[in-house]
Amino acid sequence: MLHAREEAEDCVHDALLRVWKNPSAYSRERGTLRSFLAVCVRNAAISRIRALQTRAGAERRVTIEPEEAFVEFPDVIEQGRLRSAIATLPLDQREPLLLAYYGHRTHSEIADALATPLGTIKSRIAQAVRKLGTVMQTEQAI
Amino acid sequence: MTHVDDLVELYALGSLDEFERRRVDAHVTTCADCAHRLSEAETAVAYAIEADPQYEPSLALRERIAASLDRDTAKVRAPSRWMPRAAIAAAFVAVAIPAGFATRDVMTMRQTVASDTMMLEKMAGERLASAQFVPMRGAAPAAHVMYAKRGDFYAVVVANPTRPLQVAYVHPDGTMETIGRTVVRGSMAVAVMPIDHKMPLLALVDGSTVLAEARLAFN
Repeated sequence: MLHAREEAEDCVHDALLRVWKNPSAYSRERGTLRSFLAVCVRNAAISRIRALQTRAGAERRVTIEPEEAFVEFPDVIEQGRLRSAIATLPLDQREPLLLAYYGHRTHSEIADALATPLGTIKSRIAQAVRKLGTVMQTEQAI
Repeated sequence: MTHVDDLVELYALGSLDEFERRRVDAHVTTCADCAHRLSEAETAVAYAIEADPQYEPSLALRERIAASLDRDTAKVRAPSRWMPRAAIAAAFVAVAIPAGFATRDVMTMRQTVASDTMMLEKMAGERLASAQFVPMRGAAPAAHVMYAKRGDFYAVVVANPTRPLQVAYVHPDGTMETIGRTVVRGSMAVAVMPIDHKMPLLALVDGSTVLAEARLAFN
């Protein structure tokens, strides 16, 4: 995500320290510690990307070329099960999910790029995450 | 109570703004339903994270984390009443680091070798106790747990597994907390858990079904 080992390691370090210093952030209702920490680290990386963009004075207005919006599977997806699970998503859920997860786009940017209302985009991404979890869990149980 | 609806999935993706994040944080501390949904969403996102390129944390990072935790240990209590530093550190080391220096296969191989090595070192270095899992219902796979009497190491071995299973710590009040997941290795499945906490009752769980329980005795 960050394309820089030092930045990535800073994220890992900072995310762990945050959880360590704020123990109430994790409880058994939140699922496995591993999943929780993985999400914490990724969220820290996203925050860092946004902060770096702001610090650099970069315009947050990001345009998405039409062909980019229709990219199906980034090369970084190595796990066949995930690829298959994403393939089961309807296109109108798959596109915004991929742009949010791999493109780190904001909901507004995705809504603009796909010419779809913001609320609809949020709802479709949420549906995509739920379906992805169900499919992956089923695959894992087989 | 106003639920946070689709926000939990967006929270797990890291795409909420600060205000919305705080709203979800506050809500899930009082709403078990939404906390459960959030855990499912985070698990789904974690599947994707684990498929991302990963690399082994550097020695410098491990030392930096250890130093920071050491500095903080005197001031901060443990993350929860059962979760010791070893557990959070072990889980943390296994977490994907989003930068891309090696493939998932290499990471998986290293984790496998590391857990096998840890188990062998424990078996060679000290006498481990053992307890059988007693089936709770129907047909449960033959399984046992090897553990250190000091309560800082657990390895669950399941014979002839048909699928990965979860290992849960059964708290004294009866609530269960998942602490590991078995990995199938040919004719057996193993879960190695270097958790520094005495857990007298463990359960072998398949989804939401408790298959068997094992009672452990400590020094």
